[in-house]
Amino acid sequence: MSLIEVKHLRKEYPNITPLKDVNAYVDRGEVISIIGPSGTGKSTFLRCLNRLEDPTSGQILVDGQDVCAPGVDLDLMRRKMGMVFQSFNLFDHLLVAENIMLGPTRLLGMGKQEAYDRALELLKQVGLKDKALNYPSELSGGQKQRVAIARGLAMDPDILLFDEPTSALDPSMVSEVLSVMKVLASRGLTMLVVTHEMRFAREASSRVFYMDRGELWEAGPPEQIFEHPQRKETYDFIFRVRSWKWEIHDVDPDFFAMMGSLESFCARQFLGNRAANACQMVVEEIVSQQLIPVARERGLADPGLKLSLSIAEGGNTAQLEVDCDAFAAAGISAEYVLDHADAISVVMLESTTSGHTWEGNVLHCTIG
Amino acid sequence: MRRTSKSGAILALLAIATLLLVALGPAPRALAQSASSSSDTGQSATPEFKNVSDLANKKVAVIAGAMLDKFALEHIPGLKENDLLYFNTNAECVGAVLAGKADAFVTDSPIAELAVSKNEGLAIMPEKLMEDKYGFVLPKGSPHTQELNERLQAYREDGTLDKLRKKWVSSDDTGKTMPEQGWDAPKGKLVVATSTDNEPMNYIVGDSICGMSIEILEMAARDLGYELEYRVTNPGSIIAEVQSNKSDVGAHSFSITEERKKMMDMTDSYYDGGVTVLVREEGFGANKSGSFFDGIAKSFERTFITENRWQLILDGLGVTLLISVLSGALGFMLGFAFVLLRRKKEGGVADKLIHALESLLGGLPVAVVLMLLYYAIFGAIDIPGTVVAILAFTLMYGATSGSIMWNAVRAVDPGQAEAGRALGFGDSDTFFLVVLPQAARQFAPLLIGQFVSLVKDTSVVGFIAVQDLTRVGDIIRARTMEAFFPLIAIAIIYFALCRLLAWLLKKFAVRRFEPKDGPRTIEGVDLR
Repeated sequence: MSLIEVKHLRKEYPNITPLKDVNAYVDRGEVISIIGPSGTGKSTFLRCLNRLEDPTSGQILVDGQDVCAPGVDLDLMRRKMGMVFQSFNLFDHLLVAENIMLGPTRLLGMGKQEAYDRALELLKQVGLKDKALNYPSELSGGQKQRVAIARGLAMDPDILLFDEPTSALDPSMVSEVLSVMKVLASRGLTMLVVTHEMRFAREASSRVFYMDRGELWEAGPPEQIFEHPQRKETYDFIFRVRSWKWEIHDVDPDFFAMMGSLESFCARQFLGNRAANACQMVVEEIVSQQLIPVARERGLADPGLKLSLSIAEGGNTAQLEVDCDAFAAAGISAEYVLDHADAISVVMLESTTSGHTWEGNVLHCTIG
Repeated sequence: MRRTSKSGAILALLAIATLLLVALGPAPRALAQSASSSSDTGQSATPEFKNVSDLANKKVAVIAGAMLDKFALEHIPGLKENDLLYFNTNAECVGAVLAGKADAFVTDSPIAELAVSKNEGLAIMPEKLMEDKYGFVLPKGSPHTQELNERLQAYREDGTLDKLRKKWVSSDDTGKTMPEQGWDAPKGKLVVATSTDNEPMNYIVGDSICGMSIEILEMAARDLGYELEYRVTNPGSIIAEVQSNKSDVGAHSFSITEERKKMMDMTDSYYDGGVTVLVREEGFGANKSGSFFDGIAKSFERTFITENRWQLILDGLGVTLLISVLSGALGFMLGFAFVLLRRKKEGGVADKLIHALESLLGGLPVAVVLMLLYYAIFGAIDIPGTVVAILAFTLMYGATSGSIMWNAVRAVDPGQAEAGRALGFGDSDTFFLVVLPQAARQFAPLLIGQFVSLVKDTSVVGFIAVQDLTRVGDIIRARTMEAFFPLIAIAIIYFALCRLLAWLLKKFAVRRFEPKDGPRTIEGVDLR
């Protein structure tokens, strides 16, 4: 029997229905990543499992017990099902160690000393043993989330729910939290993780749930979801999250913002360093060495460049498209751009791309 | 933290110094001279204004509701209604003249003489507005009128009346003792109707009646062989007491008038006074160096030592403390109960009702609530003013503290409660372990501020005849005719009390909600 079984779960609010009809199961020891566009019921689904939200109808069985049945001991059920929140929700008035000790001492009847020793042990596991006597306000976001994970573990739960655990973190702190989660996943803890971290979903999950518009469209191993999605909805989403788009409307564009966005896109994908660097180099060369200088020279106020970079199946090659409609409108031909391109730049591009071609007003370029 | 408390102490010192300066500001010349001279008569001093005609366009202080305002307008040429300043007590009128807010105080001569002897720098204008003589009243055709008159005649001739007059208006309250009781009374008992609010004629010190009228009556009774029994009533009822033969003699400041003589018997005069004008001494405020600290010492003695007035002040302080602390504690509990009730169901009936009550009380002045409770709601019930005061302030503090706490509770991130519930805590555990401590960190300092306001607000309980610190200050000012010193003393006591209470609350209540400073420990845990 599955640890969690969800049957015809529906959640309605007066003006919105975040969950229409969700059916799912989770086996003991599974790590489930729940992915999908924002605002499509992923978090609501998670919060229904531990009844932070009351389902409108349907059934949720945890270890065979219906958690929606009247008279069910919610508090007892929640002790077996920890939760990690997007905004950490550490108790700000308590020290880190006290945050972790509160549940065990008050709910499990554990002695204070034992609870403290255990808190230290858990803090050691998440790499924060020396922060036991700090207040949450003295920690960074990544550290707070690791403490929150330790607080959840302290109750020795059967299941740990993660509600977008890294969404509120600086990119630089995401990996420290994901690493801790990967360790937990490898130890056989049952985990359900609502996330936008595709790499985590792909590498650490046993199965991935794709949710959209209040429904669970597809559930399956990561290879299936990411490489061979069975449903069109899944395919579109995976493709969408695999492409990066940027528009340039000024001859003095904000290169820093553009490159930063591209870099974090590459990092979220499964691109290795080499491929990521290649993508960034190609975009930078084409925009700053070829297209923008021409636009400047011809006095184009709005270069109107639309960039789109997508990762091909398998994640080995990337396809860059630059829509140059505004150039054509100003009478600038592809040939003119090529003639005026910086020679070194052209050579560099040729070495990292398998050639670039113009199709009408669109520049195509395959990287890798 | 250490630095905060040190700067707090410096602030407190600064505040006291400022308070003193501000309090003394309008009165330095008065204090500098107050009571520093040993002169008790005051008559020898030259008044700043010599004639009634000098008072045109000057500011004149009068007691509200004592009819002397009309009298002053009629008798002081050029005086306009706008020039009249109304005060509630003699002490306030005297203070106004000393501070220069008023130029003259129109009053009966015993009060003027008392004020002159108790305050340096005052004088009585030689020209009286009206001559007036005081006599005792007796029932029409009383057998005692004649013998009393004979005694008064004798006392006038041997100088006793003059001696008594000097004694009872002097600044030396310790000399104002009454003769020994217990003489032979072969002729029986005389019942004397009088009141106890008419210094220096008939008033009360401790629990014994004294004053010039009273001492004269006692001397006469002893000489004539009567025993006296006093019936204390309010001034307006004395004549009725006498006319209805309930009392044999009425003693007060009764002017001898033809009209009165038709209704009852009146003795001859034992005090020749009148309506006088109290003004500042000529050259008042000119430098009289060296007397400043003497003046303070004398004022201190009169305010605290004489007649054991420190006892009175302590009692007043006790009442203020009792009302403040009890209403603070009860009000806090009430406010907390409000929070618990509102939490049950936000937007429910209890929530709405409590919100309405808090808005209502928040929009009413505390003095009005106090008087409504005392006169309207508990008017028919015999209930001590202190109890009504505690009730009123409990309600007021309950309303403010309740809304402060409720807002702080609601301001705690809902994610905190969610995290508590997700751990498996029940609703009440989540509230008391997670939400409340975080809200308390926000509301505790605000509650202390509100409590200090409460302590200060209790100064209005005098409205319902409760003798708190402020009221005691008024009483002492009235008794001593000291205009400023008792006020300053009371101000300093309030300040010290408020700071002390705030400090205690901060030390013992608020600290526990603040982050631990210094070495961090966890109770019951060996950190190793």
